[in-house]
Amino acid sequence: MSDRGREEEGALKFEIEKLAGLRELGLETCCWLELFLVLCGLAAGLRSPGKAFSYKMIEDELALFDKSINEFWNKFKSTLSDTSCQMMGLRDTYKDSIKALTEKLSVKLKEEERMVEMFLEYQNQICRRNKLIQEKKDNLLRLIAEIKDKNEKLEVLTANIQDLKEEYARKKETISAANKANEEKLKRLQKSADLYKDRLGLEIRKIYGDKLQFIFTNIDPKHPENPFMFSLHLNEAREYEVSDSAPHLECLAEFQEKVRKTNNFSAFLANVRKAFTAMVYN
Amino acid sequence: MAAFRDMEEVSQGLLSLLGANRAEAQQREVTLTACFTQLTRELEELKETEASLERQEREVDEDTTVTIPSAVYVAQLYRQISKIEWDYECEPGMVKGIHHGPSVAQPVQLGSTQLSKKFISDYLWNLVDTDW
Repeated sequence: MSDRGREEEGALKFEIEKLAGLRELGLETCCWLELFLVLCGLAAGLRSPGKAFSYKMIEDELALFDKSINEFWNKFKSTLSDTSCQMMGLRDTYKDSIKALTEKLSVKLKEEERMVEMFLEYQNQICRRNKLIQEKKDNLLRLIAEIKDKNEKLEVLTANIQDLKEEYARKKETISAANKANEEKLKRLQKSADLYKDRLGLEIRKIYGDKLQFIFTNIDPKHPENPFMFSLHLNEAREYEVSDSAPHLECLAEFQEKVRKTNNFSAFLANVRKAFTAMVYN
Repeated sequence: MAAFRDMEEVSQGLLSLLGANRAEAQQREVTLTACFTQLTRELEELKETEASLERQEREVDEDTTVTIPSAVYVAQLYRQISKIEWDYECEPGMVKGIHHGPSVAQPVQLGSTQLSKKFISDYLWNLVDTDW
């Protein structure tokens, strides 16, 4: 065997051993690897003279090897293709899963959005309700304060009214008593004045201009009711001043002077009456 | 969500409670207002009573300060003029009293039923001194 031939053999052997090391192939390496080794051995045997070797045996072995190789190749292809199919299948499954997940997630996201909206809505409502409650509370407090105020005013008013009632009751009594006393007094005074008036036949009246009017009756025997009168007042000098006598008395002026001098009003009146009486008899 | 529902229930409860309180307060207010009105009316009546009492008081005052003194003055004047004091307790139909003359006091007794008025007047005036 040439050096070159030996090199090729060595390289081949190396390749075969490498392949044998590839467990992933999972191939039945036994038969054709061994076949190769056998072939290599046979080839070595061919090169070495003296070994009885059949060219037919080699051909058969090669055909067998070829067949094995083909079988291996087919198996390899189909395995690959299976793997490839599995991969595709897995990929499709993966895609479906992803799609389903995406849909689910999308639904969840929408739900979450709705929840957030609802939450904000509720927050708003609560805020509004709180304001409403506060308003109502304020109104109520104000109302209660008004009521309290009215209550107080009511109490004050009631007390005032009670006090006034009592005061007026007292006043009424006082006035009533005073009135009664006055009435009695006036009654007595009136009675007294009436007696004088009737019995003396003299009425004394207050008239306008701060004057007193003296009216005598029971003068004229024929007409006792006929009045004989004159007026009297105190002038600025606090002197008696007579006037308006009816019927007219001449001596009235004289009497006026006398009474101014003596201040004897009693005698004055008695003399006036006497003069009136004398007038009738004349 | 349940928490939201709870909160809503609570706030409804609060509102209705406030509503009830308010209704009660308003009811009390109506009652109070009625009392208030009635008392105001009583006060008005009292004011009228006060005015009436003031009127009566004025009348009594007038009596006390004017009418009575006037009457007293007149009575005193008669007394001063005639110098006669009547016996008010004597039996009716009698003219009875005392005449206070310048030196003596003289009783007066007349039966008015049998005597004319003129006679009585003349008699009484005759008792009065005409000397200045």
